[in-house]
Amino acid sequence: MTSLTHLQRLEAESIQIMREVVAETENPVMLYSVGKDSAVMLHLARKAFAPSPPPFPLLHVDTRWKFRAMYDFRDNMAEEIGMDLLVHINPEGIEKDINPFTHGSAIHTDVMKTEGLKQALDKYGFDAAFGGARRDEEKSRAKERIFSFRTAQHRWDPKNQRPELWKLYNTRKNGKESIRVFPISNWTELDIWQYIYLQNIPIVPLYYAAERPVVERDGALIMVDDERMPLEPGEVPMMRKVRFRTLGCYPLTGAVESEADTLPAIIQEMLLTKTSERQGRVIDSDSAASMEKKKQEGYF
Amino acid sequence: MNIKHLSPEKLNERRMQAVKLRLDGVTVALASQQTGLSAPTVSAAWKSFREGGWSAVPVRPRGRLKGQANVLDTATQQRLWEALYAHPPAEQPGWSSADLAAFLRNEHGVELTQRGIEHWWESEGLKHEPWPLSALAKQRSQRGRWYRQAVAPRFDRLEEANQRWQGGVRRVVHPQRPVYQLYLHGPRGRMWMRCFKRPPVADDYLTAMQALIGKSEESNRPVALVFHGAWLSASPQVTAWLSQQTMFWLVPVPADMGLAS
Amino acid sequence: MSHSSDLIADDIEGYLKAHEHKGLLRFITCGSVDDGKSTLIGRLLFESKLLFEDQLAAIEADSKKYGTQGGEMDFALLVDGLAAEREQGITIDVAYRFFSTEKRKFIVADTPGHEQYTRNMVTGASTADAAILMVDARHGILTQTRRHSFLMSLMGMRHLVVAINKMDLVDYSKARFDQIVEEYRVFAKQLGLENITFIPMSALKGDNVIEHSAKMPWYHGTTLLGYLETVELDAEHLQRSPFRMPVQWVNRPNLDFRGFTGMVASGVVRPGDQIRVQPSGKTSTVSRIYTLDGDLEEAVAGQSITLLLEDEIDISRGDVISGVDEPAHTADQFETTLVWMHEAPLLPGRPYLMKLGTQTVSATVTDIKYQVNVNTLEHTASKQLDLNGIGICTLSLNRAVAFDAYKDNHDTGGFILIDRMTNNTVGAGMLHFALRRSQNIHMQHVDIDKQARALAKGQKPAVLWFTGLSGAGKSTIANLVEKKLFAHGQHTYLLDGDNVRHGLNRDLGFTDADRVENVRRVAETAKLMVDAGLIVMSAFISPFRSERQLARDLLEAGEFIEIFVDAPLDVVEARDPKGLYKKARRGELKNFTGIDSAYEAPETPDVHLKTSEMDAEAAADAVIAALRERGMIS
Repeated sequence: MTSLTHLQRLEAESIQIMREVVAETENPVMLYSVGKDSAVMLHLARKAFAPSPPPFPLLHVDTRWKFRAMYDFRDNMAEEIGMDLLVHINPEGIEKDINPFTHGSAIHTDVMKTEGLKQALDKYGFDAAFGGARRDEEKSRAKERIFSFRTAQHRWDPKNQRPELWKLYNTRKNGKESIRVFPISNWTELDIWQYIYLQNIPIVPLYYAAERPVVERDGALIMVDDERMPLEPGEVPMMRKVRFRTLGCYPLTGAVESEADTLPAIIQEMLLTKTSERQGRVIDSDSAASMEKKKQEGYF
Repeated sequence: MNIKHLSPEKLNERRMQAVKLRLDGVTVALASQQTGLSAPTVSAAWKSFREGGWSAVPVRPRGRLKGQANVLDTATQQRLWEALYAHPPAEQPGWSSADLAAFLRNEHGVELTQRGIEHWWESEGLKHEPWPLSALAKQRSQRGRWYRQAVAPRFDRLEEANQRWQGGVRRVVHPQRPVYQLYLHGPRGRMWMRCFKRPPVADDYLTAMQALIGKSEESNRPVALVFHGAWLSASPQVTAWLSQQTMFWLVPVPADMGLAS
Repeated sequence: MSHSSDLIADDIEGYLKAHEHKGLLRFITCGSVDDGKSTLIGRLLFESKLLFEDQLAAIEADSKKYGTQGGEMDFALLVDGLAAEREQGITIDVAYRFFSTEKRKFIVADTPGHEQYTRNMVTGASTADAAILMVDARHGILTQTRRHSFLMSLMGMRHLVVAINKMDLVDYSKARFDQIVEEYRVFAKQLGLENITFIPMSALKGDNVIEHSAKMPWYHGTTLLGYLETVELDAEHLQRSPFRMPVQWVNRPNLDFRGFTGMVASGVVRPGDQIRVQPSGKTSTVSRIYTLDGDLEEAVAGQSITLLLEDEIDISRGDVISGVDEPAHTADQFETTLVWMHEAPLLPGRPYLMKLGTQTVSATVTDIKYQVNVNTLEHTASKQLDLNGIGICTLSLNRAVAFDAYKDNHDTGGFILIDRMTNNTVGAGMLHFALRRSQNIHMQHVDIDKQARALAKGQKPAVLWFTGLSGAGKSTIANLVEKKLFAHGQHTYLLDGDNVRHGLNRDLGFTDADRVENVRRVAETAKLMVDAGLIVMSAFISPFRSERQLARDLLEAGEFIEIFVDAPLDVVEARDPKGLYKKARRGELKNFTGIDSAYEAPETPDVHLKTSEMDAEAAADAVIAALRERGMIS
């Protein structure tokens, strides 16, 4: 009798899901956010299709406001794996210079992320897109399907989602519908970190604590990642030992003070910590049901 | 067991133990039995943990502080904090323990030794040890290289101890108040400090630096400051000021040099 | 029970080492909020400390506001959130939650006990190793308990805990506990449920959830968590079964590498093992089990793998690789249990897509033997299955598939049905056994075939399928077309209401189910006539797309010509040659297409006749022209 560990079981499930998508859809793509969940998803994809490279491209919907360390990491990663990396930035966003400071986080996210994603999917005609969302991220995700159907307009209709039994996924679409597939739905934040640790998966250095220049905005520590970050008159960024629990647009992502500069220390901190992962995301505080709304609008 | 006989250290140890037991699913009654604490004490420790995490579990120090003749009452502590948040005495880069002792004596008629003040600093988390910079001179590490390339060329040209300064800014975790501390170490490890309720702004840094220049002005000698914890060159105001100084050298400590901890 | 905080703080690497070797158990909880189900899940989440302080603080605030526990922590609030979901108009269904202890990670499928319970519970149970059935000690076995138990037996749940909850409210009485156990045992026997564990519990007070209760010294069994940490996992049980792997995808990066990927559904496989591929029956030997990190010595149920074989045999997605000695069975007709999951009912005769493992085939329910009432377990005769209906059905496929009985293997015996038009998942089912007919009645291959007959008549046989509203002119135009074809020397036949309704289909009425059957018979008859070499005209309303698709699927490509006789409802209602619309409007005719029954217009008909813009003669000419264009006639 061989006992599989929980990580082996989760890995096998994710791989099964990815192969199902590749076998049954015409033009899949992997949404690559450069974060730790994306890192795990990409690693699983390499395992699923080895020795072939994963038979789909990576798509990064860029907002122009990610951390510089994320861009460096992204470009190195794509080159190393030998996968096509498609980067899409909403041209309308560039034209109108949409940014989190003058337009606020809600509009910035809507135009650059939500609209940008729809544009990119339409432009390349992708009919299935892998995303790294997990059910443990928050309450409203707990009942999200692994295969989530979107209308031709990329809207999510909560009333029209399909039951998922056994390991059977119905991948058939009507016309211009598309599917968002979440192969790591059943992983928790701890599973992700433990897997990164065991499999030695490279992640963006921003997850590790280091001294970084930060300013305070509404109680959140925001990193001054480049000269576009507007400082108050007389303001001097402090160098504080911080790390990030989630990564996004740097002006919208709060850092936490931390001494954790190794993976075990990060896991230790996570287990002993007192606030949940999403707290660092400024976008959540916009409105209570914002996540649900974002999903309906096609944010994921 | 009468817990009144327990030293604060022992009591806190047991409170932590009780919380761990509770986290492991042990009932209050059983945790009380195993730690010798009363059930209400176990509950209180558990509640503190739930509200404030591990750091909230230990009880606050009771009674007088170690090595201190006078009881540092709430009112005195309050005055000390108010002083630290306010401007330091004229010409000073911050408050030294001597300055604070004088302030208490002159303004409030309270007698407290410099050592007493320094002990209070320690209990409030405000104490900061200077870095043994000269010990870096021979180190074969990244730190050693930095010292030789960035610090030594300045420090070696300065003869007097009061020309060589080090300091920084940091956030001090304090249970009751927001504390951003600007600290400076001068000759013989003496410490000056100011506290802020928000991160210091350019003016705050410049006031302190101006005071350092002032201290050596009579001898008309240059001053060097090795500084950690602020990205000063991001401030146009600071940059402009520095470019006009011929007698002030700022040596920023690069990120992750490992001096701070 | 929890993540030991000492170990985390003192020796994180030691902690990680210990937690690398946890297993994974998936379970489902059945019962309603009233049974303390949410309280139980909330407590398990809380005790395993997978709650963060911001979540805890929110619950504590909510407990004071809405809690039912007098301001004390109300664990139920952790998992409920149903009110909020209702407000947002979200279908309440299965929510998955996670917690872990030092021994295992757990995935809990949480389903509400009331609305949509069958569909949701079946979905949640399909992936679970064990089920917890909540019983309120005060109320004992209720209808709901029976219903949930039946569903668990239906889904082949191998481990069942009956958690007799709220023991604190019956004074921790052993007598009460024994009474409920006895009552349940009798009932479980009828269902054939085995491996039942009974635990007296108070989720609210924590008795026998994590720790043994001091209040019930008479109970010597396991605590609920103790049970969950040790109960056998399905994946491990399945390692003792014969090897099965449905092929998902063939990995062929170059000519030297041909890997067959899939998840091992049961058994163990090692290099050197002899395998058989179903349904083809070909055999070979495993040469390697490839992974990115090096070859494996063996792979077991639950692993996703890539197999390489010694021989170059033709294997594609949908095939099942088995151990050579005990291969999967193959068949094209089965006895099954079907659970219907969609608002549109199951109609016998209508073709659906069936997904079984990695195979997708066309499937038709040929017979509903009986339907089971989940509350009373009574069997009733039925012509269709509605949402949440459960029926024992005969399922007929368009080709043979590899399978195992569901009781032996859920992954090679459980399937879903997909509607061909909407692509919705409409049903789930369990294969029980193959029906023999399929193996004995082989298609008779005779020397004189369709081609020969057609040649003798000098024509290409086809079906001209006229569809449209009553009064649109289908029969009139079909008649004219037949006359023109006859005049041209073709061999034809016209099927319409007049010659079918009174004979072949006189047992059928006008319900949706009967309409489907009506069209099916017409289509089968038309197929025989095409086989005989005729050009067949059928003129029926045939309102549903899926039935027209069925007719199309029965025939070979190009033989089915869909002709949409298109007249707007107001036009045909004005014409009303037989006075039917008036009757329907008066309510004297039920289920009349266009009035109180839908007409699904063809999206892309082969011929589109707008009879409000052309007369019958012109329409018939248009049909003839279309046939010429296709080379059907010269």
